[in-house]
Amino acid sequence: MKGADIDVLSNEVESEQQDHPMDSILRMDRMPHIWCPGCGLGTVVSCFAAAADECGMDYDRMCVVSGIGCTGRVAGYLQLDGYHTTHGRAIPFATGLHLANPDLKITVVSGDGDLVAIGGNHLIHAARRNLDMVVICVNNFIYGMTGGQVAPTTPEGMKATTSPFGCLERPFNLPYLAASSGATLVARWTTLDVRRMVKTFAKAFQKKGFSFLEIISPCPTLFMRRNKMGDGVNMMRHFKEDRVIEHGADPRDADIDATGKFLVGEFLDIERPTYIDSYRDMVERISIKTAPKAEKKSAESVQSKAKKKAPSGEKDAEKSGEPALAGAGQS
Amino acid sequence: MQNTVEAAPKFWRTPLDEGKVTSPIGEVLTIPERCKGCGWCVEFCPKNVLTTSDSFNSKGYYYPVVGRTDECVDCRLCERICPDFAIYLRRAPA
Amino acid sequence: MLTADPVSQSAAAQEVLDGILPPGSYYLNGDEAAAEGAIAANARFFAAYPITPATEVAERCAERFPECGGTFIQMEDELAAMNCILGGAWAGAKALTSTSGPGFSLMMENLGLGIMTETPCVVVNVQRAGPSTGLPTAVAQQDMMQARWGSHGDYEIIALAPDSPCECFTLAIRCFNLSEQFRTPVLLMSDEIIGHMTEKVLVPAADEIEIVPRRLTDAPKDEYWPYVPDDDLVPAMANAGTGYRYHVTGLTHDYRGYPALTPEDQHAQVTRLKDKILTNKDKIITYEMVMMDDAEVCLLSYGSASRVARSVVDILRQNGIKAGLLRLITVWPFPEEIVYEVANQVKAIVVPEINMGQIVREVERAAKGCAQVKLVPHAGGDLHDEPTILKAVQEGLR
Repeated sequence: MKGADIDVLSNEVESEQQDHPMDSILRMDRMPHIWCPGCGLGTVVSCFAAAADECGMDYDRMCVVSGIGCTGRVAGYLQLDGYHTTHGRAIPFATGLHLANPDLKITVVSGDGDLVAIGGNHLIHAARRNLDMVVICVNNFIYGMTGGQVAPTTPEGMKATTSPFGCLERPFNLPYLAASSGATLVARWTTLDVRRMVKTFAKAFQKKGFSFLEIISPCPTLFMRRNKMGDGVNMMRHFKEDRVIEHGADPRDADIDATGKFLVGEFLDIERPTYIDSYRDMVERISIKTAPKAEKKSAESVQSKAKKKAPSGEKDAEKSGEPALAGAGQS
Repeated sequence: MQNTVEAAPKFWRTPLDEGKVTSPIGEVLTIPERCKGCGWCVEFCPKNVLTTSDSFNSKGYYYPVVGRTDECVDCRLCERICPDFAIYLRRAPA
Repeated sequence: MLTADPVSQSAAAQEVLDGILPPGSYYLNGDEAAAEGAIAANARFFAAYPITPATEVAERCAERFPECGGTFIQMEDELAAMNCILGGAWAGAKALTSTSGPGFSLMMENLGLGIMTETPCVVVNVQRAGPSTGLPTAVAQQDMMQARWGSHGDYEIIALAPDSPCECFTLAIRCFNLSEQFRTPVLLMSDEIIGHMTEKVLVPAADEIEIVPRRLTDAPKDEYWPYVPDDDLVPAMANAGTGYRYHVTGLTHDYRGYPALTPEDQHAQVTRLKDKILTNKDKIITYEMVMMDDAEVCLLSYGSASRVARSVVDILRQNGIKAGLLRLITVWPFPEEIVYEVANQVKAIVVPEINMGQIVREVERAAKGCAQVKLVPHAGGDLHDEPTILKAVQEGLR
């Protein structure tokens, strides 16, 4: 019976030539993507694109940097300058992009294993420096791409290929980790909370500072199958039942265990100077200090040179092949 | 929660803006070949507009179809939540 | 900001140094000279982790980059430093890092990322004795093979070896030029003796310094793909944020930058990356020959070991032995053709290097048996002494 219906189209089904409104920001020449049915990564991409559109981001200046893993493939599906780097090293790569050209709007999208295990050191330092970038950590509690190994976020007792008898370790509380390291915007949503995710992404894009956004996503093929949690719909229902929205909650309370309720929301939204702010202040300070009193250069011209060093991505420098970057006084 | 028919709400008095404010109406468009049958649009549509088709696409996934044609209010949750960019909305003229 | 330079007292030296040092002579150690050379090459992005004996490069850059309009950051480890400079390079800057053996090992994976994504950048390795923590403050040349083979996978690399602080300055500039010309990370294989030795460095006028600019694409935005090679097998680049919206990945990829994972794609990718360097060897390889025209024995050396080899050549000549020096400036790609020619000319090639035999293997391979090849090993810690090398020459000539 089902097979016979394959040629019957209901009146809502359109032809394949139609375009989805999001197609212009996606690399349609690489679709369909590799993610499984019931995986939330496509949803994260959808919300990312919607948020960028909503706040009128200049797509030419947006960069996406990702690491290795299922989430790491996100950079490859967005029609933006994208960098698919090595495992755990998306954040330092993004640091370099950002510091050399602070006008770029950089988002790091990577998974829990990539950002918090091998990349953990870079995460905490980038947060500590309050680098102006957005880090979207898609947490599916597992190492997906490599077949389902235990991750630093796998809840205690849950099974994975490298913890076949149950995970022995206490998982990280990612919002707490990020907040205590110095992140200035810390939030967590699930892939069910699409509108809230869009709002928080948009806020993060427009905020100056280090934003750490944890997105809880199902991994039906590996994490959930091994732990008999059903399919993607089951996980999303579990999100609906068990997630508790509490804006401004103390990140300390944001632990996730296998069975209980867990917090989502915008936990932290503060302001403090970014690394670039401090760097620019320093450059101005030293320029004034070393300005000679002699006739050759007046103090004003040195100060105005120091102000000129506040960068704005010099496009004509790019034509001559010389780099455009932070404080470029040269061409 | 799936596929139950909601009764029309009963108000104890007529809302002051009745007749001035109308809900938007959405037209659901699907790209069945992109669908991977995750079921989220069907599950979470707040107006239970969608239902799973009896037909499947060339990859064997059962894609969504509109069940309750007049109920879509163009909230675009399905468009946002779909991981495969397989469903989107057009606002129908008022 | 700078320590007083007794040699150069010009008023120019007192001004705000927003770029290259004013022309003149300076007393700098190798590390400082490498930093100044980078600035002269228009490098304006530095990220590193402190490690003896390379720390002075970072310290010099920490002082000089902010006043030159550059960016300096000390990263949390060498893995971060290597990735940071890759990102900085993609944002449009000329970027470098500095390290020594243990850090060099940490950088290997992401050096590979730089090679695979064809990212121009420079890594300065001020070599020290290993393995492991070894002798942090003492010289060796034990990373020479690692420079070539240290990262996983099949690739070619460009590595230059300075023999003096002056050459640290000039070769740093050359490293940047080669990295931009061939869109590849380039290694400056210094060592602790050169790095910590203070010598006179001659800084030329800015207009006498040749700087190779980045090869940026002029393709229309909707027709640009990031890995379409030009005739010399080097693709034109586009900096981030300039509207080209390309994708770059460490996965094996095709001309579009998209992952392409068939054996055919792998073959195409790896052979182009190798040929990019190998077919352009004549533009990359440099060396110095001293008294080689009539030489019967060749001392082949590089870096600080070549300084001792040079004086050994003088001693041999004074004793009537026709010795000559072939000093490798470009160590990788290895100058096989030159070494083969030399092997056909001389009776023996003596290779003093401060390791237990690394570049000597390449010499043996390139000589193809046409001359005897004799290694003068040294486990590290200081330079060879002349009698040891002299003895090896005598044995080689027997």
